[in-house]
This record gives sequence, structure tokens and C-alpha cells, in this order.
Amino acid sequence: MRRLVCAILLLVVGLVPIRALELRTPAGTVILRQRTAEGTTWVCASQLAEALHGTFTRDAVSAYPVLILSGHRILISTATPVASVDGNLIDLSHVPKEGDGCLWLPEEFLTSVLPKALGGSVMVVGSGTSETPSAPRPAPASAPGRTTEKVGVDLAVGADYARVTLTGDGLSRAQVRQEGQEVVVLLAKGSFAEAHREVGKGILENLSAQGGSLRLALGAGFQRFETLRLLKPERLVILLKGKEQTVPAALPPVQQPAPPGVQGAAQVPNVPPAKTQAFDVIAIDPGHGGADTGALGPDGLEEKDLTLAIATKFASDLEKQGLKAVLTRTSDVTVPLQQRTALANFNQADLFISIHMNSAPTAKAHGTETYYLSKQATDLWASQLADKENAAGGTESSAPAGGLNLVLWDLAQTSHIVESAALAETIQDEFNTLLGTQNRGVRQAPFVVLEGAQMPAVLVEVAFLSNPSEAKKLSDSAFQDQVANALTQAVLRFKARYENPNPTAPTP
Amino acid sequence: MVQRILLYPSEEDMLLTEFQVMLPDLGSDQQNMQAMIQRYLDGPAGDGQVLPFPDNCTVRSLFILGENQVVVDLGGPVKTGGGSATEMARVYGIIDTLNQNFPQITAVKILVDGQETETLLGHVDLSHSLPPEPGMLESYAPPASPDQPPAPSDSSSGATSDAHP
Repeated sequence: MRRLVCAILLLVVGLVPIRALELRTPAGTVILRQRTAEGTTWVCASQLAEALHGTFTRDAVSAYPVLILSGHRILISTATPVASVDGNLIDLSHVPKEGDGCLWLPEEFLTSVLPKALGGSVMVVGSGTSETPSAPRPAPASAPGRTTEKVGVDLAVGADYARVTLTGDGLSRAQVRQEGQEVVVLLAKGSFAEAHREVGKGILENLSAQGGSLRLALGAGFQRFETLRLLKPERLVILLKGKEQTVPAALPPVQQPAPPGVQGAAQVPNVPPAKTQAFDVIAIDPGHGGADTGALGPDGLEEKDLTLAIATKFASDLEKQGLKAVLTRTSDVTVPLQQRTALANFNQADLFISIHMNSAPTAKAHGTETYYLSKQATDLWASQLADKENAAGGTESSAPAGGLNLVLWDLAQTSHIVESAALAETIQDEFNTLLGTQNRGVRQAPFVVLEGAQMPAVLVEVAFLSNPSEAKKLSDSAFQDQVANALTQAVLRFKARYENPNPTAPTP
Repeated sequence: MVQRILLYPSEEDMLLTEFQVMLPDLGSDQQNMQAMIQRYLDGPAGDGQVLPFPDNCTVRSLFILGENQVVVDLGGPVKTGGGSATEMARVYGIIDTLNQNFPQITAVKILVDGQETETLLGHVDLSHSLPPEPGMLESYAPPASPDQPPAPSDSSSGATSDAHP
């Protein structure tokens, strides 16, 4: 998709008329040809190098484009919106793009990056048609003193969300409310720049603006909305969330635990299963699968096969205890990490347990360890995202795929960390008692497969495939039964504590 | 020459232990960090330690972002192998080593071949910057709670050296 977008952008770049841009630098004034796309102007890197008596080349190791100006080395990424001057990274609002024999640099590169290399301020003072150096430059849209402030509308649509970001002054006093099949935004002052846009997705059908009101026509997939107000610049973010059944629609055909000895998996239901308050649904995730073999052991052992074997036995044991097990895969298929927790969320599971085999570049390492999500890492992410959102000059366009706010909202697991730690401790206890494997302890890590779980979630590394003794055990069906039993006992203990949290508390 | 401490996993438990090396002072933090991480990938590690990365891995680029963040762009077969123990040692071997030698670095973003990557081996989320993880250090002792007596101090750092055999 990203390549397609880039290709379209390059086509657009190729269609617009060539203009000229005057650049005043400490080394003198130069005239550069420019093109316009994505709401900014672009200049050719090789022409820039020539005009400034520098060199444009490629890095010998990384093959990154490199501009050498006044003895300073500017490394340019064509994958992410960054450049570095002598190793110091500088954010850009646009990714430099290659096309028509040029590496096209956004105008921001001239004012943000060049001064670091040229040792003084750089000004873009004019642009116009036919390479006229002195043609006056149109006033920027954000010039101060305007009397007709327009509120900008930015839209991002994903599989289970639509996010509308409004940018402009006075949004802190805007009203947002649902009126039937519409979410309506009413501005306290100003008006919207956008008139009408068809979206046609299940959550949002279209949006239309008239004066100071914006109406979001909701689709059949809409479930609820959230708002977030941000400053510097002032923004109002409206997140439309889809119904939960939209998530499994994209899932591979996994699930409902197959009874022992029965092949195949049931179809994904169209609506979430009915859920009571009882603690009765356990999501089991056999790690890896399909092209992702996971760790390799001796004699052709593959982690993906062992995780599935143990997970199937574990599910069977839980069924015998009257619990419902939901497997994220029941055959050798590739399942993306986020979809595994999405399936657990959809089934309103009470626990999420991901099963893995460990491996190390040494045969000596051995034992069992259980992970839950690292709060330190997720705190850092939340802090960085919040800082970026609220930084002066920060823009939605610099957000990673999926959107900054979605990341914050989707780190659901952070609210279950204490319970996850308790579950991890219980599993380690049972492994010590029932299996006698070395206790490597409970640890925290920023594992992708745990992040989206809306319930206590852990990842169990049963034993090391790289340890010959443990690999032999792991391939033994009887040992796999013991592992499944230890996991089942841990779940039952956790369930008992969940249902009767303080059985021995003294009466006051 | 500058003394650096490389944190390689112990072959016993895959937790990180210290290994001292002497590296040339290349003048800037960026150059010194890149050379140090390349030395980390190349090895050798010390006695009782293992290299978490396979042969022929490289640092394609290293950037300093602001005052406390680093972006490390890795190349070569950094995504081959398996197991969370290996992956944790690779990721935090780099991050904790950077923090150990340049304490101002408190967040590291890892790229592979110039691109963002979800994970190296299917576990650790690399889509964001990561902070150092002191729990990966073999010498790490969690802070005692206020109502408990202090834990006995452990003066043995487990450090080995190729500079002072």
C-alpha cells in the first residue's frame, strides 16, 4: 500500500508545472527548480548539491542518499521522514521521494536541515512560474492576522475505527454529540474548510460540513465514539469505534476449540458470543505457526508444532473442567500477532495465555519463564506519544500508521498488569510443583502479542528447544500432557482466587 | 582509547553480564556509539558469555535523536533464529549497552535494513523506542520494599575484560 501511495505521489509530482524557488543561505543566494505535491514544495537533491557546491552521493554501507555540504554529512532516509546531519537526527514532515532521476526533498528540509550543515539560517524567499527568481511567494495558509479562520478536517479510516481530527482555534469549546445516526460537531466560532467527503466504510459513511457544523453520517458498523482534545496546535480528535464483530471478520478461520480427536475448526461467528460475569473463557495462543516456525530444535523439532500440540491438550483439559477454551489457531497457519489478542477480546475471554518454547545460542540455558507486559516500556511509549501530540508544531501527518491516539487507546493490557503478574506467578508455581523445571522466574517484556489483550495476559516459555535434555522432553507426548496439566491447575487456582479473592480474611 | 562495557548474555541463564573492551575514541558520541555496537555484534564475547547475534550482522547507521534517544539501523541476518531469550538478549544487549556507556541515552529505536520492523523473532515490540531494561542484567537486584531489610550487597559484577586479562 505504501509503495502504491508513493507511486501515485510521484505521478502527481510529475504532472505539476515546474516552478522556481529562491534560497538564501550563508553561502549566497541560489535558484532551484521546485515542484509542488502533498501541500508542500520539493527540490531536487542533486541540483541543491550542485548549487551549493556540495556533493550528492550514496552511503557505501547503507546505500542511503547522502548530501555533503561544507564538510557536513547529511544522511537522508527515503523510508521514514528523517534526515541526519553528522549523525544528529532531524524529523521532517514528509518522506523524501525518488522520481524522474531526482531525490525530491521537501521544503522543510531546506529550513530545518540545511542550517545545521551550512552554519546559519536559510530562507526560502520566493517562488513562481517559469523559474522567475523574484516572483512573490503566496502568503502561507497559516499566516497570522487572518479573519476567516477555517477548521481543518483530517480523516483516517482503519478496519475497526474511523478517526476525524479537527485542527483550528476555538475547538476547546466545540460541542460533540450523537444525533441518531450522526455524530455532530458544532463550533463555537469559525467554520469548516471541508464541504463534503464520501467515506463509504462500515463505520463512517460520509462527512459533510456547512458553516460551523460538521455531520458524520454513521454506518452500520458504528458502535461508539470517543473524543480527545489536544493543544499546540489546538485539535479535537473524534474516534469512531466499530462493533467488535468487525474485528474477527478479518481473522483466519480459527476457533471454537475442537473436541479431542476432532479435526477442523468451527467458523467464526458473526456476533460476539454471549458472555456472563462468570470466569469461564480462556484464550489459548499456540505461538508462531505457518511460515513462522519459531525456534528450531534437534531432529527437525519446530516450536510451532510443539506449541500447537500443548495448546490442544491444554484446551482439552480445560473443557474437562467445565471451562471454555478459545484457540487462536488450530492448525499450522500464520496468524498475525494483533489478531491473536483480537480473537481473545472478541470472545470476551477471561485470560489470555500464549504458549511458546524458548531458545538460546547456548545449550546450557534451561527452565521455564513466564512474561507479562512491561509497564516501563508502555509508560515510555505513552509519554512519548503524548509529548509528540502536544508538542508545538506537531502534526497528525507525522503520526505512525494507526495514529498516535489509537496506540494510547489500544494499550488495553496496561490496565490488567497487576492481575497478569499474579497469573504469571501462579503458572510458575505450578511448573515448579508439577514439572520440576528450573524456575527462571516471572519477567516483564514489551511483547506484541500481549499488548492488545483486554484481560490478564501472559506468555509462557515452557522450556528450551536449544537444550538437548529439554528438547527431548518437549517432544514427548507424556511431558506435553504434564505441561497442559500444570497450565490447567494454574488457571483453576487463579479462577478460585478470582471468585473468592479473600477467603481467609479475619472478621473485624 | 576509551573503555567500554559490552553487555553480553551469560551462557548459563541468558542474562546480561559485563565485558570490558578498549575502543578508539572517534571524536563524536554518534561515531563512538556506532563503533561500539558494531563491536558488540562482531564479538568476541567474554568467557562464559555468548554472542546473541549470528555472524555478519552490521550497524547500517546510528542516529542520535534529541538528547536521549538513539535510532540503530541493523543489517544482516538479525532476524534469524528463535526464542524470546535470544530476542530479549539481542534487543536489550544493544539498548542496555548503549545506556551503560552513554547514560544519557534512555530510549532506543531499532530498525532493520532502514525500515521499521514489528519484531526481530516474533516477540519484542520494536515499533516504538524502548527504554533500558535493568531486569535483563544478571547483577540486577530489585529494590527492597520499605518494610523489608535491605538485600545483601553483591559486589561481584561478573565483569570480564579483553583489555586487562
